[in-house]
Amino acid sequence: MQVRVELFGRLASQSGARELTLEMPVGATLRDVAAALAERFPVLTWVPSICRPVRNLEYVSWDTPVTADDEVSFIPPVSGGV
Amino acid sequence: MKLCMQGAVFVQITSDPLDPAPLMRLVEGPDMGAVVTFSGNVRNQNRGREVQYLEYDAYRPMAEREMRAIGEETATRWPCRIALQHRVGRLELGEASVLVVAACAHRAEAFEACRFAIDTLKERVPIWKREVWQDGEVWIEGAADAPVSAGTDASR
Repeated sequence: MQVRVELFGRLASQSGARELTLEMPVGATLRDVAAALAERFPVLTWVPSICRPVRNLEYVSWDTPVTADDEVSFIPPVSGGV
Repeated sequence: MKLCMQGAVFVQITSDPLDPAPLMRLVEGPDMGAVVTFSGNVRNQNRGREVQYLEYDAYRPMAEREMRAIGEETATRWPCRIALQHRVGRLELGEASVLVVAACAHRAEAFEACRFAIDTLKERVPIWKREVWQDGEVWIEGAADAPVSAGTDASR
């Protein structure tokens, strides 16, 4: 199945991509999508240790499964400023 | 452009310069005795560095959805009408990057509502800033600095 991944901020500037489609096996989780993303862009291996996973515009857990045509993203800590 | 509230909440992400006056007109009303406006502006110094400009990037549909949820939660906790607006793209020193305008019956709750909304926005709305100075740049990720391109070093 295909999953659409949206990239922003550091993920976009380091990979040079703002969106891509990944082919994932049925039953794959957000953790698996992050691993597939790091395989495509080895510069993004830091994503699982820094980011929060998002599925269809909502924060979810790394164990959440994805389904076909989901939109997925990984959110680094958001803007600083006190 | 005509601005429009949905219920008690207005949210918008825009690349145009921000102006608090239309937002104040949007939320004020005969039952609202206090209107508090917060404007977050681009500062010339950050973490000991001379900032030249900032570039904001957003996950727009999610950011607008989170801003709406924050506005609705705020309006539930403090009876108010509230507008949240964030700018994206390149911003120069002194320009406003975010506006929160809260209108309540009385000032105590208007200050509290405005403060809650901007603090929560900074915690969870997916918007990032790239800070550019004379001889380098970083993404600001909460308390951390993160390298903009792969293979460069940052202070993480």
